[in-house]
Amino acid sequence: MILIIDSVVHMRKTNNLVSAFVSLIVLASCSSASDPTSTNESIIETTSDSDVAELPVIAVTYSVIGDIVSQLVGDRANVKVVVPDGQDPHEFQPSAKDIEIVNNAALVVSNGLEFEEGLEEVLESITDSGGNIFMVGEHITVRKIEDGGEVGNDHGDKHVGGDPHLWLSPATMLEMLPALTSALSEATDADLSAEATILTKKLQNLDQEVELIINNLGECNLVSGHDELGYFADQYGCKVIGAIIPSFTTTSEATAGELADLKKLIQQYKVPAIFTGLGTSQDVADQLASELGVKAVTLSTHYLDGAANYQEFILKMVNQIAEALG
Amino acid sequence: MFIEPFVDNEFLRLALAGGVLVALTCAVAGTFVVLRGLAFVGDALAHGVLPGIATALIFGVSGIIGAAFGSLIMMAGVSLVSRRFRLSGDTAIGLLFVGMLALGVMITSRSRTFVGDLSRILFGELLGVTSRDLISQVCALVIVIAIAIIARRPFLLLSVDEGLASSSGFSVRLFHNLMLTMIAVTVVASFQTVGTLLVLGMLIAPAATGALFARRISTMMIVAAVVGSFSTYVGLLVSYHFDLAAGASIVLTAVFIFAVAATYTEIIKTIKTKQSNEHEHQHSHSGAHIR
Repeated sequence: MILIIDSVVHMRKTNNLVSAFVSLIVLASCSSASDPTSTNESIIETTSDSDVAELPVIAVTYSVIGDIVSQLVGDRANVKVVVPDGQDPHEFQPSAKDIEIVNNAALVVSNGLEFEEGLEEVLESITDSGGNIFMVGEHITVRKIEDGGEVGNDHGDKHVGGDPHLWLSPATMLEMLPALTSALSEATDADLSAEATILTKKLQNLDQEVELIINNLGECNLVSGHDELGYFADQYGCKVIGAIIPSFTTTSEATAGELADLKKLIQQYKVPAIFTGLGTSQDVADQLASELGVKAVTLSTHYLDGAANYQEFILKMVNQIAEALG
Repeated sequence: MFIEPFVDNEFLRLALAGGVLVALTCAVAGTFVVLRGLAFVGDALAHGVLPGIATALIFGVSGIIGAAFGSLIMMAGVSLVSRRFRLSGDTAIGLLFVGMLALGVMITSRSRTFVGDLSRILFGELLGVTSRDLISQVCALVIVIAIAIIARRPFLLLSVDEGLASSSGFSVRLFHNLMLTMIAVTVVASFQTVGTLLVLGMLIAPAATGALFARRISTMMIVAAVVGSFSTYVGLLVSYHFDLAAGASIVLTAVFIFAVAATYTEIIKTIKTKQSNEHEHQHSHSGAHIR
């Protein structure tokens, strides 16, 4: 290699970018050709196209809640999901078009617990101008947990310190369903009680199915990417041991100290798998898993990831958890 | 307290190894960056690789290959714009810098395949360093050292004065581009460990500290290597004990060391001038006395 560079140095008249090229290719050849963190997956569009211009537009911030709204309104409204399937809702930055859709929607459905950080200002301006917005977080029992795992106290502000990952428990979705149904009925000017009854039944079945799967596991100790499985764990009798990024949001970063603490906890509880996903460094998870001799399993928790509907999305996740822990 | 974290945790040992390798590579390349005033180019290269990395991740190839292509486009673009359109190097670099950065943001924010968030490319994944990463980092170190040894005379002359280099019979353009290549190799290899944003800190802070103390280029590099490696160790300990982000801790340590070193040399200088003043004063005083 030194010979190559040496000869390049002496070729003064030749295009000197050749030297750059040679060195970079040598470097590139040192690294393996494929990267395991990246996947090429085709993602099914969840938003229906706007051929149906007459229908009222319901803007939903992310795909999981978007599907629940779709199941309720059927073809009575045009449901538009702002954060595309596959993007991190914690960090997504809207385009001008996205903001236009949200501003002109008959109803905006959002998480309400400071989940969509990139959409914060858009949603705030809708609230301030008295726009029609449904915040799921206002219609559920909000989980408030501080770093150490102790139950924290409410700081007066209903948005502070609440865990926004409410959709990962079907029981929580059942809790807010009546309120969502009436908000959607109002926005679409339609009676949605039949759809609500059907969806309630489906979610109740899902709830039981999940409970059965988890109960069959025996011990259910969870280690996740960021602190995202709280509602799920609380509802179905799992214990969250820790997270690579011990935070409700993916915008934080892992630190050496927290990783070392997590390592001890994983050993102490003999957790067989680490669940990672969006916003968590796959490399960090893989490294930790190989050091401890456990599995690192990628879990889709923040978007449908091609699942046909909410029920399928939850079942896929629960089955992955059960398989990894069983 | 100072050793146990590394004994107990393999991920910290790998992070330390990766960080020290980055520090050594950056010590060699960074010394020339500091001496020749190429910090802006370094910054531009570090960000110019972004669209390359993003595109590579979308197509499922190694980010390092994408980064290599990104830096090639960046270098070619800078030399094209500055030569064809008679714009200053700064303007050309700035143009491509923001253009490539914006392109990178656009690719990552609108792709339907999740490529990971931008902040992870910017700040790196030091705590997820694998032995595979260490191999490419070693390759980069070897390439950078080889370039520095082969072209040490023209590089030295270039760092002093371009005219001196060309009158000694060296092509300024060739060796300037070779130097940029060396910086590009450093940036491309280091982005996985400390991230594209923080690689600049490792490139400049230890080398600047070296430039404070040393006159010879080799001594500067040695000081820079020691400062960079020590910063990696201290930064990781800080991240461990105080729960702070690892990459940022390391770079902040390196910048802090520079600040302390700069203050120290200033104080020494002041004391020396004072002493010599006093000495002169005494001398003249005693002279008067004799008379």
